[in-house]
Amino acid sequence: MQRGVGLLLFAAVSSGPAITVAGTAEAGIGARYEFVLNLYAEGRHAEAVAALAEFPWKELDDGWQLLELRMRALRSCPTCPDTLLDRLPLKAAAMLHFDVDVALRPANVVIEQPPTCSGRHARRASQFAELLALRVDGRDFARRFYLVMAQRAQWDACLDEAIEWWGHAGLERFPNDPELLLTVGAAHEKYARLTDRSPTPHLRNALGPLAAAVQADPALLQARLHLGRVQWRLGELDEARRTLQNGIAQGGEADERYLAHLFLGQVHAQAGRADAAVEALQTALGIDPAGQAAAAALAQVLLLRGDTTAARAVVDRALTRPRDHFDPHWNYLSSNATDIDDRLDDLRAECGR
Amino acid sequence: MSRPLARVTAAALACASLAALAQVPEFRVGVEAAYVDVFVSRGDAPVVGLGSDDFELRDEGVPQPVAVVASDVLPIQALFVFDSSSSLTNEKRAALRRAGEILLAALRPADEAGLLAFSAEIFWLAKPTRDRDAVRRALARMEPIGATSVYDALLAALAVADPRGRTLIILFTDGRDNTSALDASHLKAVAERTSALVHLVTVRDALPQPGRPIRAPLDRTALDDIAEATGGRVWVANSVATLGGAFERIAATLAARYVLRYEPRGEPKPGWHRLEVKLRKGRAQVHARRGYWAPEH
Repeated sequence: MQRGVGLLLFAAVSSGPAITVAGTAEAGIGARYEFVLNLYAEGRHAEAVAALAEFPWKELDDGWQLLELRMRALRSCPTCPDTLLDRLPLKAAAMLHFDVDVALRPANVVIEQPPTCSGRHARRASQFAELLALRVDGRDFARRFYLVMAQRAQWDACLDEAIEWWGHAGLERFPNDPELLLTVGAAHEKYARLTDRSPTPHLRNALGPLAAAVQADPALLQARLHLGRVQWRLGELDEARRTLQNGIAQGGEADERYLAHLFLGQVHAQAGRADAAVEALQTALGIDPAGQAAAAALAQVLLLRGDTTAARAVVDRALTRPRDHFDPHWNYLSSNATDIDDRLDDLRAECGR
Repeated sequence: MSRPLARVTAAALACASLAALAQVPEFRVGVEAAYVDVFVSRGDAPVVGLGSDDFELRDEGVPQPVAVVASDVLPIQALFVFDSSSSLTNEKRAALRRAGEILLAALRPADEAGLLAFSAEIFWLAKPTRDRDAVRRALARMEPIGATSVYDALLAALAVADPRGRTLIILFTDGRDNTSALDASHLKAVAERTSALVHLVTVRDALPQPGRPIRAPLDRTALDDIAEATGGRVWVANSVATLGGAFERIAATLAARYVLRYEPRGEPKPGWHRLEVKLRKGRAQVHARRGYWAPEH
């Protein structure tokens, strides 16, 4: 199916008269390539993805070499006009290469099999994002592109990709962006959870970006949640308590408040403050009565202090209470964002000329 | 009355519901009787036919006179805690149904069995019951869905374990944890404070492997600690095809267990009590709880 569409489009471009791309010869990125980018910009996403998937990589590299030269010029003079860059649908190029990358990845057999991480088309998408970040009309798009890509890679457990390709690359262009900092920190935190080795180096790597995220945007409650949890896992119990209590003082959505009280309860428990732990965990269960993570943490504290009857009652309730939503903790380490697909769609919708 | 579950006191029995008493009508003991489940093996073979004189039990280093009592006077509550996350293939599901049959067949009529399934969510598929068919139907209803909360599921099973009796927890997981609020380090102390006997069954793939993980590796050392602290153990099958063998061996331990009764000498001090159980003669592996917690008076 993909091959068929690709050949059809190639035929259309080769035979030429029906489709002419102004300035192609002058620009030199390749008529076919530019045609497919425009196809995507027109909203014909599936056709464009199928066509680009068939392109020889050499052809794409040739086109990119010219764009790299333009990017260098753009760095030295961000406001100078550039007929090629002004003409090309750069946002569409970034999204199209990402979509092709996803289309070319092998499908998972089961959900818990590690997903395949990004390939060379995603790398090319990141290069277009770099170009967009240099242009006044592309910066906001580029920032959101880096962010959603980092979050998506984090969700897929492609943590090196999340941290380096998207997180650090995004922060180079958007230093101190609180959401990018949060995502890089959260990816390190997830690394700590998944590694077969000591989690401590990864937790330490998470501390800096998360603290910077809190500093850059004190209202970003998610950053406080992640920072507090990382401090707890590192044994910095007083710091963790302060961070989480400051977060709780901010209010926030129900899911965030649930997690803040859950983690605070676990901090208290580790510090040996059983009564405070019980209070915090009961508050979490007050916010989400079906929360099994908080129920497990509360039952643990109750069992350790010998209150088997209360522990059993807490677990009994958690096992039998009807559930109409996920426990927020179940997604907590997967990604700090759960609306990734919606935001990718938003970006696609902005790719029109 | 939060006497550690390794100890079943008469006071606990007095507090038990009438229904629970009805399950063990012939059981009457003195005020401070304690019971310890013991399994003895040479290699993989259970050692049967032992009597009271064969055992030596020390509570905090103090030798205690013990009596082997018939294990059927204290019915077992068997909790099957089975992983039903999305990695549960048809082959694994079939293997678990066979495993359930093996374990059910090893129970006595007065014993109860229940099925607690877990993915990210933990849920009863069959609450503890003597109705074997109800458990079989529940095993047939296991469907693969979602992520994996191994540690939270084990905590839940420890919390719902019958504090008055002998609870056997058999937890199977084919994978790693990715959604628990707790980790293995949180569970050993809890397991020590319950009377539950914990067996953990997994397949080799679930243990740390090279490559990019998407779920937290099971901490084999910590799991060994948890299981062995309760008198149970971790069973690792090489593949799904050999999973049945692990469950058959657990079933064999059920049939060949001894229940030792003793009356601790003196006033038990609060806190951790180290238990040592060994054979007076002969060489064999003795699997029993490593200790129990005595509450403040």
